[in-house]
Amino acid sequence: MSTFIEARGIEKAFMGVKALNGVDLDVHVGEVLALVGANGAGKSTLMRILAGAQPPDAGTIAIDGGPVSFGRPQDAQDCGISTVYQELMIVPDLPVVENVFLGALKKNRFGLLDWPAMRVEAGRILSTLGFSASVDALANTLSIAEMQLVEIAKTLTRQSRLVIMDEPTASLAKEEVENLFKIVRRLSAEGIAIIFITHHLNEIFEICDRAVILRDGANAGNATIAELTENELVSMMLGRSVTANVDRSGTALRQDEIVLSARGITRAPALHDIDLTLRRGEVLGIAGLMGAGRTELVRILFGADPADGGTLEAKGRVGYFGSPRAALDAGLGLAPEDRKGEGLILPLSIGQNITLSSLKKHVGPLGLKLGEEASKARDLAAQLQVKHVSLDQAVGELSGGNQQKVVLAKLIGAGVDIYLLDEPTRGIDIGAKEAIFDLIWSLTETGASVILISSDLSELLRLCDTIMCLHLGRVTQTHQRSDFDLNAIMLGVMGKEEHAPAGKAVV
Amino acid sequence: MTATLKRAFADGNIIILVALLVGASLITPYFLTPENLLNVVRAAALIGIVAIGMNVVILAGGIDLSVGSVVALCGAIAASIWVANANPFLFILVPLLVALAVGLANGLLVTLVGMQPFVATLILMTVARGAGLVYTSGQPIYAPYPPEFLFLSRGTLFGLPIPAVIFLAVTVVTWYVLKWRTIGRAIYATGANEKAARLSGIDVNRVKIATYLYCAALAGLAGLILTSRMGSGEPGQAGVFWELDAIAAVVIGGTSLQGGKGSVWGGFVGALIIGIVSNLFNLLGVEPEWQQVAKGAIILAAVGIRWAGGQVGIMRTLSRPRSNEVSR
Repeated sequence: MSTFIEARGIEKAFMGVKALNGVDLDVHVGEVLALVGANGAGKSTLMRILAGAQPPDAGTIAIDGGPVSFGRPQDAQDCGISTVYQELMIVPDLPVVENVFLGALKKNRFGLLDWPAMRVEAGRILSTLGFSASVDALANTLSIAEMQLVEIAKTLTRQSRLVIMDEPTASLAKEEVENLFKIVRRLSAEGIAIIFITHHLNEIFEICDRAVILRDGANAGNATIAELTENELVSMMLGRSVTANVDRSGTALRQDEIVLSARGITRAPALHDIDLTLRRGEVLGIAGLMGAGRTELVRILFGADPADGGTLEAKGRVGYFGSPRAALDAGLGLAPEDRKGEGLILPLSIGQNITLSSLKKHVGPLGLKLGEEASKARDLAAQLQVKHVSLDQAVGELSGGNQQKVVLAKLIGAGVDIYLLDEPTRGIDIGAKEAIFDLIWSLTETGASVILISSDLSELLRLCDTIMCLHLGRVTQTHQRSDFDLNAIMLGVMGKEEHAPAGKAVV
Repeated sequence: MTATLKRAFADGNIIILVALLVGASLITPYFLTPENLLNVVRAAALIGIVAIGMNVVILAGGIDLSVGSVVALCGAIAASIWVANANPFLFILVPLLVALAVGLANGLLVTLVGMQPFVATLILMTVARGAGLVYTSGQPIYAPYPPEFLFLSRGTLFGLPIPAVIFLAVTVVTWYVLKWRTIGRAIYATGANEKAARLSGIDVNRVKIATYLYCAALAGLAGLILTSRMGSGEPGQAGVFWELDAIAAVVIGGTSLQGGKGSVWGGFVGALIIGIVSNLFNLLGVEPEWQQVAKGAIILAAVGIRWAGGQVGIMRTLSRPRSNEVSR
């Protein structure tokens, strides 16, 4: 099989941090190549360099054996490389045909735009892709899957020889994924190579010929799919077989009292039939990729969104909460993933944010007892070591870590004892992270329970008693602390179902 | 209160107000006479009462275009009830209930239906104006009002005109609610970030509906006073453009149209500033057409002064809090 593109020693750094450190990549004519790696492994950077969207700091790229250099995306396109980004590059207010030929409009012999020819060609290409809408439809009337077909049609009108697809199935329904696979197979049969970036095991093993694995900006493996097992793949991605470290020694305090249990939580299309059980003093981790349904799950538990089905029993009370207020009153609190957009009221002061969920406690006969409220806020800020000049400062002036502490102070002030923490350490510095870990431990020691969402598996392994893997809205695996296994959890995140060992996993 | 004063400084309100008072008294000595100052307050009171309600809606992230129509509708209903039936109780109660109904409609369109506040209240603005005209067949209603009702506009308390007393009372009550009641805090939170407010346990729909009810009730009250002052219910003429005057007052007073930022003093001082300037123009014999133009210039000036203050930072320094008190 001849090689289409050959990249050698690609390096790229952002603000002094190496994203790629001497990566090699070969793509053969007509192959479907899986580009796999954990978050931050460098897949997206490598993809942008191949697409000409970013220049590499060092390294060479050769096409058909001849060296090339891409100064801009157009250069890569001229060499036959097209990219279908996850964020589709569709102009919503233009018709399909114009989107297909955007940037490469056809002209007739008088130098005028040749719409009839373009409509015919767009229609022909799109129909081979299984696209049923009209070429005159406005792009904003299309479904995501249809828009993706338009993107693919775009690459076909440009005589592409390599199409890079970045998580192309992320927002597709099952049948749409099947159609996409069919298209990928057809393109491959026609000699067009595909780079398929994905986190889903089934996609890697079903559609791809070969996998290139990246880890921490370097090559970590390269194997034909036929000779690769799931375990080998994940070992290459993670580079080590880590089991739980023993940081969390105080787990002896764990009790058997169940504080929250849910059966069959369903909310289309994000969640299907989720069971979970949370015990007093337990830290339950939820591992999963973006789009796995993690945030949707905790929002339902918190009463922020309604569920389509299932039952919830929390603190001896049956039924979903009708509103966040009802959940807070029952002792559940949510620290949302989007701290600035949903966790805090940025223009309000630190003090007012801290007491926002517990104002009722400070109401006297004449109204709010502002002095009492301020001193409560001061105590909580001190307890969480929020670094601030004055409680009257707008909370927007604080660093990310201190903002997160304010969110947690608000929950503590509201008397919460079931904490739903959605990516609480994202984007905060290491010191603040440790402080939040300490807080989680001290909360559970006093009998509170925590549901912790994190993209960082090592963080979950460190903090949790139980880890539940979520993949496309379903629970794939559940592990207890005694048998934590990073590889298995990663496999669960990527969609591998647990082969029920001795009975169904104890949840 | 000192924090409030400082914030008023920071907003530039006090500076603008003092500059206006000094400037006006230099231009015409008559300005500072007690009779004239009473005129200013009396004139500012009506728009002021409406502006306070508008201020609250805007703080919660909304806007209410229907207030001018509510002023007219309530005035007309009050007049007609007086003509038909002399029960003084009913002719205060019924117009206020109608105003609350309009406020409720605004609130429900915004919350349950999910309309943009601008559109929802635009609907009620036209519906309420039309309803007033239909109800009265488009004719003003003149009525020989009893002294009790005329007292609303012409009476005095401790030498202050009753409309001014009501304006001050409404301002103080609103200040109290915004600062000392949980709903006040909820209004700021909802206006600044609705999603976060909801996840913090605030019933944002209830908060929004409450602000539209409050705003409509104040507009209804202003309608009663206006009818009392004019001696007639004017379904077509009363309250025209008042929604814009009220919004202008709020903006001049420094409340952010984006919600969540500002204070009751915004509407209060803004209405006073507009009142002073109109009065000054009247004293100088400026034609009403030019007063309109000048009003735009004032808005520009107020926004400019506040922007310059923020740039220079003097006003921020003046207002920097010293203690850890939580205040608004």
